[in-house]
Amino acid sequence: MDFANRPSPTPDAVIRAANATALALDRTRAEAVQPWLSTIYSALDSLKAVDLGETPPSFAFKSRKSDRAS
Amino acid sequence: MSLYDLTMAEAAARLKSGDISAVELTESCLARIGETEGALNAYVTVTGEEALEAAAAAGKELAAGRVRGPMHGIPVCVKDLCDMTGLATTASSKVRHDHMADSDAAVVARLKDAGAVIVGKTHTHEFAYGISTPTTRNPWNTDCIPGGSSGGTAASVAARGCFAGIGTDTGGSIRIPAALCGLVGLKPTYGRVSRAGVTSLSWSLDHVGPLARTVEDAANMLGVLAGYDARDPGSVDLPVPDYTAGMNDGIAGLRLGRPTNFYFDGMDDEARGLVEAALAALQAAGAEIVPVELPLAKTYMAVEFGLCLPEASAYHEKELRTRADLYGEDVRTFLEAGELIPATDYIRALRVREQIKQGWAALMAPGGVDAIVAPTVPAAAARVDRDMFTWPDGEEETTTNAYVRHSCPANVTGLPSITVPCGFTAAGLPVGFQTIGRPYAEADIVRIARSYEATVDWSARAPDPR
Repeated sequence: MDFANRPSPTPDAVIRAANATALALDRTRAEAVQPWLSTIYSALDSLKAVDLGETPPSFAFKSRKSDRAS
Repeated sequence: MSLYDLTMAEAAARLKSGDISAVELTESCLARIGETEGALNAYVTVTGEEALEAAAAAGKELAAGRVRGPMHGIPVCVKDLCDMTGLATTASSKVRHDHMADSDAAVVARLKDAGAVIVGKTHTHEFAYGISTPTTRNPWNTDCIPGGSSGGTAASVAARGCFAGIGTDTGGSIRIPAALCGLVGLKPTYGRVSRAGVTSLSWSLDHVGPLARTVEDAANMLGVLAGYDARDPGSVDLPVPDYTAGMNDGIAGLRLGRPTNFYFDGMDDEARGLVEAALAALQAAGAEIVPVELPLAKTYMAVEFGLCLPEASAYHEKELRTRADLYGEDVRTFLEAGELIPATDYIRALRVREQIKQGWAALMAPGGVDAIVAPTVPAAAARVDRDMFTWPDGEEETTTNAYVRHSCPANVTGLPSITVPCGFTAAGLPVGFQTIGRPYAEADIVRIARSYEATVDWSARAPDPR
């Protein structure tokens, strides 16, 4: 299965993605969001390099007893 | 010396002895706020008369010998993300100008129960979503940012408008402004302080804690704020110790990890020199400085933003669809971008977070190091119009990323971290170093910070913004 990084989104792609969440973005807003979204997508794609195996998600910090200070 | 120049501990001692009254102390702070507010704009609301009424009530109890604790009669400020009955919780946003609080946030209630006098609510970067707090200026140089998002609290405490204040920290928002304003800032372990009644930025990364001028004052305030609260699902039911009890016991024999990666990469030479001198002082105080390689360091920022963006957008989902034009441009853009992060990316960030947590736990397991010591910020306060840093190796980094980068590991892991001032640049701007400890080991990091603080006199310096 291809696990490639996603391409940088175009403003049109930003508008379509926003529509899917019922968030109306006009072209001006899409052009404002696009560079930042491209940066965060690139950062998130970098996490694919981590071998996660069966690691479960850590929804919030919960200390184990063994982690605690004595 | 004015009363507002005292430390909180000194003021508490003089209140207890009857040498000064809580009203005199509060009047001194309110006058100081009046002198500095034109230059700083630290406050959304100054409570004035209400503060004096609270001070008078505290004064009566103190005069009768009923001392509630180390904050009884002490003027403090509260970040305007925290609900306070009868006042708007604006989050420094036009979106929230009409958001009246009908009850106190848990931390506000705890301050009131401790007899503290709340002199006002301080500016935050809008909804805590940024590191500059554009409403407010740095008291050491008003051409510079105070840091954020708890910039109003930091500016006021540093300028002697009050003795300590509440901040929140999702990606460094206690420690960044504390470091940039020359203060001690203590982000406790996730779950140690209740967030009930505090406007959220990112539920899984949010923390609440104190900013103060000394380690002792921050530790005393944490003792007031900490404790279980069933209203906060992240809250942890553990006893609250006296965080000052072992504060002066020294650090001989402690093993302190100095990161060989991540923290000292991309950093201003002057700030680095000050932090290195602080680590040398810790070594001279008897600690062993141990080189350590931080696990998965390249993932910290991606995990921080991968969690914060979608959680913040979820919190603002309704307002973004009904009053988007009331948000500032930067926050609106972040919120819109956060809507477009797939759930699979969010879950991946949560899974990497688990590996990061395990890696840090291994570093501080028995036989490992007792804490990590590292720079709090990679440079002193940026000028308000500066968007980028250029590091000595030529690399460029946005100011937001640069400041968040050094703070976010303690948010991603939930570990406690305290920043303490470690000197001033040639331009007269403060920087700090942070100590990150084991879960719920706030007393240990207080002791390390205090051991360093005892060797210097940075907290005696005061800015005079007018």
